[in-house]
Amino acid sequence: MTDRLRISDLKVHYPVRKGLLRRVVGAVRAVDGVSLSIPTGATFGLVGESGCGKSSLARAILQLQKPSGGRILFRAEGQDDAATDLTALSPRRLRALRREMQIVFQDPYSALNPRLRVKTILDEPLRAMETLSRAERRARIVRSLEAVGLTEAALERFPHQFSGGQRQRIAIARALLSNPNFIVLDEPVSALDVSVRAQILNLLIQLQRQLGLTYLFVSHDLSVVKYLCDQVAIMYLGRIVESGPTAEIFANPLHPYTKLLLAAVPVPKPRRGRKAVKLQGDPPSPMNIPDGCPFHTRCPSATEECRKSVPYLRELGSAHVVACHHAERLTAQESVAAAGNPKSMIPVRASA
Amino acid sequence: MSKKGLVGFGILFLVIVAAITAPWISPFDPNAQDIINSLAAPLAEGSEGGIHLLGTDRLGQDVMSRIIYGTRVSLTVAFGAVGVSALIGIPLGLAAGFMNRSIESLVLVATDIVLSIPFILLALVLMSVLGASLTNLIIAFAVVRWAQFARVTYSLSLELREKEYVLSCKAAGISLPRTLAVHVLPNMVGPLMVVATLELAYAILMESGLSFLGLGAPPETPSWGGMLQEGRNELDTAWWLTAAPGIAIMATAIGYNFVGDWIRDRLDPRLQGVLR
Repeated sequence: MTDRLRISDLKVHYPVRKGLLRRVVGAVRAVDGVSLSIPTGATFGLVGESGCGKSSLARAILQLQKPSGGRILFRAEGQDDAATDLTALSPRRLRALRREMQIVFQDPYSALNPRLRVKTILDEPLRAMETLSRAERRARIVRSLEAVGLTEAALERFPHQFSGGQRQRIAIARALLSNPNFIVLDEPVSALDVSVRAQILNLLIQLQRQLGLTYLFVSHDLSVVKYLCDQVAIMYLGRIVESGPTAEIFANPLHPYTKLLLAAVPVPKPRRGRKAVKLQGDPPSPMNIPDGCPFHTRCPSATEECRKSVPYLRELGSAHVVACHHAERLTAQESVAAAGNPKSMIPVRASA
Repeated sequence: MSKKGLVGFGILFLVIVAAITAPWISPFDPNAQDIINSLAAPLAEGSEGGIHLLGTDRLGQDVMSRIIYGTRVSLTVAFGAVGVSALIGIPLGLAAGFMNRSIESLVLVATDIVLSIPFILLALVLMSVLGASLTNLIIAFAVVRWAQFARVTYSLSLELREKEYVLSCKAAGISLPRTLAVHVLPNMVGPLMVVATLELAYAILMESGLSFLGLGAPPETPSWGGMLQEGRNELDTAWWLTAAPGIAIMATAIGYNFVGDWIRDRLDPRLQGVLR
């Protein structure tokens, strides 16, 4: 399988300006050297706390935010491999390519212009992306709406006449208008009621199967990622700290940060067989990223080495990469601890 | 509608009706002189019949009729000046918000400079250079007050350019002018209307002020500020010459402010439902 998207060393830095002359005094390093590749037809999960740069990364891919460095290779229609560098395209060629990649945002309330009717909300992007007659555009819009489970009746209405879930369906319909092959889903269900979430997720899965879409799924919700994604990358302070196939990451997390995130996922039966581990404190400011491993300030197993040298992504296991100096040692220690002293992992009721 | 809003729209409505129907509702020709009836008190009878409701001035001209005709100057200057300011300020504010950084800094520095100059001083200089006429009054106002529109538009742009529906325009490759015209500007109309009504009140005060200083409307056009200026000499003997235009100016300015307040309250989501 070839890649739909290949990113290498992508950086998004926001300059920080100060003083009368607005001199640049520093930078917020929202994305700081990220590389990843997304196979055609796959769903790639990007996970991290808020503020870790995952949305900046998502927006930089679509060139909504200009990256400060790195390359984004995209496999456009008719290409066998990710070969079009989005960062180097002329504005005209980029506009022509936009129909192939779309985005669905987190908040279905601010994603739709409150002053426009649904028909205009859908017609505006379509006429910018395709040269079609009025009737053809209308047919395309109706087809898109039906694909997301809405009817023509929605066309004349305003966004405020719909519920959150319906609005997200309209936003998805907008993303589908131009028959894209790649869609960035920027936390598409985080703002929705739990009852609606599953519907939208199943809709996304169904659309992917029907249309052969490739997804980049940005989320902070690990249970959703586990349900939907083939591959996962964990992001921390603008960098990827661990990445691999979903099943592998969930079964055998290697980075201390991933382990802590997984331990924080709520489970239906909370008192059974789990060690209470908490992630202490807040992540450091992306304006002032610590030396060495960016996670050492909060890592329970940080050593002197972690404070001094930056760990780079290394491959441990098939397609499973991790950026931690001590990944093997920590994992070995844990399995020994778990085998030798089960009580440390599983609280057992004291028997008299 | 709140009481305030009703009063505001009521005053605005009266002024507009008076301006349109001035030739029919005025009891006298505003420029007809009646020297025998010079400085007649309110409710005095004219020499050729009719009652001078608000008295006459030194030349025997009917104050009521001049107030009614004065609404024309007042409205022309106010709407003209605010319209031209908005036409300059809103595009500049949008450019600052949505184009590159150098344009942004340029517009922001220009607004800061313009807004830091005492307005009446700059208008005085402009009017004495350009000469007293209604067109020049409008120009003088716009030269200064575009900055207010630019600033508000810019701050609204900062909020809107991060809105996801605006980002999705970019993701679809909708051109910037179209994005601004169809997707951004309509969402700014409310706040900009508030600015416009407040500026209307300001423009009326400015017109009166400059006319009072003899730099506003030409002397032969009846204007409220000009009437104030003429009545000033008669303050101890003929109070109606200053009171009448003074009250007209005040009432109109308050009316515009009330309308502005009402629109603002309507737009504030936290007050929705409380005010109805």
